[in-house]
Amino acid sequence: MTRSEPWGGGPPAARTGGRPERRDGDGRPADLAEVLERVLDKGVVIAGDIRIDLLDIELLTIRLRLLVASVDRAREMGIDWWEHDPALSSSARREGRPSELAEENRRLREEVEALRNGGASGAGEAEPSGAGEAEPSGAGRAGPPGVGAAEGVGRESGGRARSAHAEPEGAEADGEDRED
Amino acid sequence: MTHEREGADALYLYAVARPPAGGALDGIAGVGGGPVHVVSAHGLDAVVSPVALEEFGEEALRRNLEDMAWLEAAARAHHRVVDAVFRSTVAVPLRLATVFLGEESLRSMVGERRGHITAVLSRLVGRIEVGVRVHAVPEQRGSRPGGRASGRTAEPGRPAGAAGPTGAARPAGQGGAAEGGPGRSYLVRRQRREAERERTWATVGAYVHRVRDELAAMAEDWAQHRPQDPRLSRMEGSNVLNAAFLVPADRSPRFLEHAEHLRRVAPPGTLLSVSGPWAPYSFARLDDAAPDREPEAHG
Repeated sequence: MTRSEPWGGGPPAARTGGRPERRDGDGRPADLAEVLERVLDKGVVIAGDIRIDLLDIELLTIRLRLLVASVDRAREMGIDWWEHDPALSSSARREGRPSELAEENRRLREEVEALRNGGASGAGEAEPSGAGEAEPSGAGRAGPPGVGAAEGVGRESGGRARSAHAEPEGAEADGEDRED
Repeated sequence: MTHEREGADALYLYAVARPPAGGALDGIAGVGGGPVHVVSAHGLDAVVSPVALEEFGEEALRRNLEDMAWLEAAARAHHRVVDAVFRSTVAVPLRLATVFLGEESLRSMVGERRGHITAVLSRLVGRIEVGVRVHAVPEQRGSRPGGRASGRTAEPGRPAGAAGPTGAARPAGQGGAAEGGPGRSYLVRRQRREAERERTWATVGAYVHRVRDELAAMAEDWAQHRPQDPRLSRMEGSNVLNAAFLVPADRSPRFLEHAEHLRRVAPPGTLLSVSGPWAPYSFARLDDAAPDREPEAHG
């Protein structure tokens, strides 16, 4: 079947009001949201021999979405805290960074989040201090995607969901009734 | 990621395609950096890569899926392969991380699902998926000249002073600071902001419905996905529409043309963006093999 060149419309084209830019989908961070959404969340589910609990994937998807969001924005700002967070990066695990640095990173992240969100809402929840890698409590919290799930993410203990704690825009948007 | 094929003791499945799927796969690197090949089974082509359980076994996957660098690379590789297959034949794209312990297991699975897979392939052949997103940045609306200062924004079809959804009329240009002191004036200003916000959302809502209705009418099927986190998409504002449309390839130029028109007429502070063409991730579902599917709204 013939197809035209991909015309992945990403943020810059939308902002400038021009035609959607062509994106090659490879190594372009702006594409990651669309790629991850489809590859992790859409597509057929066939049980292979290796089984990952789909509920875990659901929560993982949400967690990772939020994490990826922070990654993209943070990179723009020259911040790369996740690369030094053992809970989030295998290279950081290998580096064995001192905990004081991780703690400082966490404080700085929260500050950045607060600044970015402009104090727009009280959605930010107090982060539990990383008490090791507790398992996400999946079953009861899956709920509908959007507000419920996102809030659930913010409450997870451990290192993974840090970046997810304050997302007023996401929560607000999800709260709007826009879907049939 | 491992680049050794020696340790490969499992098969990673990207998609199941109507043969022949091998055409566009030369030189494509798969997940784990490995090669991509086709396993022909029961008249279908399963597109796979050899992988190591050390990386793709259950425990390893749980670990690696939490690793952003690994996940990004795997997701992009997965998409790259699916996209390459899609360029040459109709295929059912799989979700990330479907792994089989061996070819026999894979063949057996394909055999069990052959009917459903074939039905879905027939439904998807010749179609593309188009992604359409609308983002709203209502805060921008008040910053235009004569906007926030007077508490009014000119909106198409909405005369100044028209009642907002709360039913309260807002006379144009009324200064609220005069009576009752600072407390009251604060409340008046706040009420005005709330009313403006409600008007804004009403306008945005109308636009979203219009986009969805008009594009759905030009597509064969559509699905509404959950909103994207604004930081994830790097778009400003709130994602108020995240939809995918299944469009026959020969109708896609008109579809895209209309999407472009809708983008141009988007209300101020509203952005429409189009992405694609995608392999029909959003429309390939084996659990529902009925030929006539209803549009799926994700709640």
